[in-house]
Amino acid sequence: MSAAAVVRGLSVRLGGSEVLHGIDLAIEQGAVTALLGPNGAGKSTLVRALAGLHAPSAGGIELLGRPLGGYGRRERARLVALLEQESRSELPLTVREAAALGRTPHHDRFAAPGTGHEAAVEAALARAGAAELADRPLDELSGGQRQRAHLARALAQQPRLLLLDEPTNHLDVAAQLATLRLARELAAEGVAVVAALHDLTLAAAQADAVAVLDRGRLVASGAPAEVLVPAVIDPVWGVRATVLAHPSTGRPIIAYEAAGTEESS
Amino acid sequence: MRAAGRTGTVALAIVLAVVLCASLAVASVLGTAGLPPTAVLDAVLARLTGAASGLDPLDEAIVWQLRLPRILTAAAVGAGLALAGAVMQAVTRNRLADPYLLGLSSGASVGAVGVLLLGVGLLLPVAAFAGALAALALTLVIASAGGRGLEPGRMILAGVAVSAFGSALTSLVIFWTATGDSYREIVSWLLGSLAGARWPAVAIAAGALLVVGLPLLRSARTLDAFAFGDTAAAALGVPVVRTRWLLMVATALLTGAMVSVSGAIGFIGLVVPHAVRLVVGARHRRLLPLAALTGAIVLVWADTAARTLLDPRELPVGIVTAVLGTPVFVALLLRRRGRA
Repeated sequence: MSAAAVVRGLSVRLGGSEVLHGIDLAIEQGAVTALLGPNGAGKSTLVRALAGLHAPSAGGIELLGRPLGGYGRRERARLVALLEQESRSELPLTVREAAALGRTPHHDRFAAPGTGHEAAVEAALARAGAAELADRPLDELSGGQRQRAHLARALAQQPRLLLLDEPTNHLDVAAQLATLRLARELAAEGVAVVAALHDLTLAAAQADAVAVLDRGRLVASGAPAEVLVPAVIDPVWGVRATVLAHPSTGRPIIAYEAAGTEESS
Repeated sequence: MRAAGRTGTVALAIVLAVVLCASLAVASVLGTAGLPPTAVLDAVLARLTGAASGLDPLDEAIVWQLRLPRILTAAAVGAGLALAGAVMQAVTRNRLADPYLLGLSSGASVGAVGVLLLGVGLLLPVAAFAGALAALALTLVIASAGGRGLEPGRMILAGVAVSAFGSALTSLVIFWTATGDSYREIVSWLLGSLAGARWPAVAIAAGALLVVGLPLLRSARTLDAFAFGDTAAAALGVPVVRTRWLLMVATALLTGAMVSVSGAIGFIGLVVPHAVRLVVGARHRRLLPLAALTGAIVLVWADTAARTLLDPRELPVGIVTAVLGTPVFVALLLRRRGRA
């Protein structure tokens, strides 16, 4: 595997204070990388920095072998797609219209609108499981259905690097799994997927690699079974974790207790 | 149907354009003077060919010097305000945004009232436009103070502040100095009126529509990209800050030109984009041209109502648009709530 993006000594300042401090991380192509950490750890900031939306105050990011800052906006948007936590619109868009926004960076300002875009949108809708929702207004959908529409928008961008900022928030278990299954399928086709997640067990089960952030620093990164151990989890989340192995997959399952509780016999 | 494709848009645009042309023709023979139905056609043909129109010279003058320029101004102003409102709603991501959001109308009022009281009517559009630009500049300076860029929420609040200040200034000037005729003239301007529109007004309004409005139509795809907010737009490759500045200033210039010839006519820029969005959906490549055409038709008829309803007295057209627009707006709000 080769790295789609390499983060080197990345620091980011927001509103006068440094939010990320010297992050070093390689994002592999064809893999799902989960970003983990408590609220305020800097997961969203790192995701946005990977999308080129936060300029580094130190260090930098290389995307496909070139400095991220060296790409033009539209060129970058043809390679990197970002799905935010809560995407809401005041506008009465249909699912297909929302998905078509993903074509924005691919449109040539001076060329006639071609049919290639429509095909790409339909393919993205089908891929995200949103084809049968295509003509429904976004604001009439359930959380899981809306998520499929937003995934279709990101897929219509045809990215090499797909960034998902807490894509499983507010979703039921089946919709969470469907989102991550799609992420794994895309990874199998060579896309690099980065997902900021809260659920450690979900990340352990679905991600190829995990990176743990705490207060803007990278604490650990690597294979889930190596990183998600009590010695890493306990100080970062302030809990006492028990890590079990899944009976059939062997992947870690994490159970927690509050840090101060005595073990009952 | 919401899912109307590109062909549907073109067909709708053609239908609206035909309705607009018919409205112009019908509106121009309606009115106090009781003109023959063909008067407009005769007068226009006579002008174009240089031949005699066969009309009574007074009728011809009414058509050519009063009716036609007024109706054409109404069409251009209606189109401009609806377009400006649609763009403003997209750029601020606020459904309640209208073209006057940034304090433009109150700035224009200060300029216009000053000139009306001084009795130099010729300078009215210039003074109103200058006032609108001053208000815009003040709003943008306040909104971007502190170096945090143009964020929609701050822009709206700054606009509210500038509007309040402008209104206070206007009221003060009227309170101290206006009497009788000038008072009525001022109030009529403040409510929005096309009664004074002659050919220079047509030139200003149509010129602004061509120079600023047409290029705005080309921003449709960029406006779409703002649907899910600034971060999503940036992730789609849109230069968010630069685009917002550019579109705000263009919208303000367009609005300022319209206000300078008509006063601040309300509700067109707020209600027309909403109503059109319900029919054709939210994508701006459809919304912008169709909203402009609809705005033109609505204002032509609103102004016709303003000058014929209480014949021989005339209403400021702003009163008509408010009376029409308020219930429509309430209906739109209730409808939306029912869906959510």
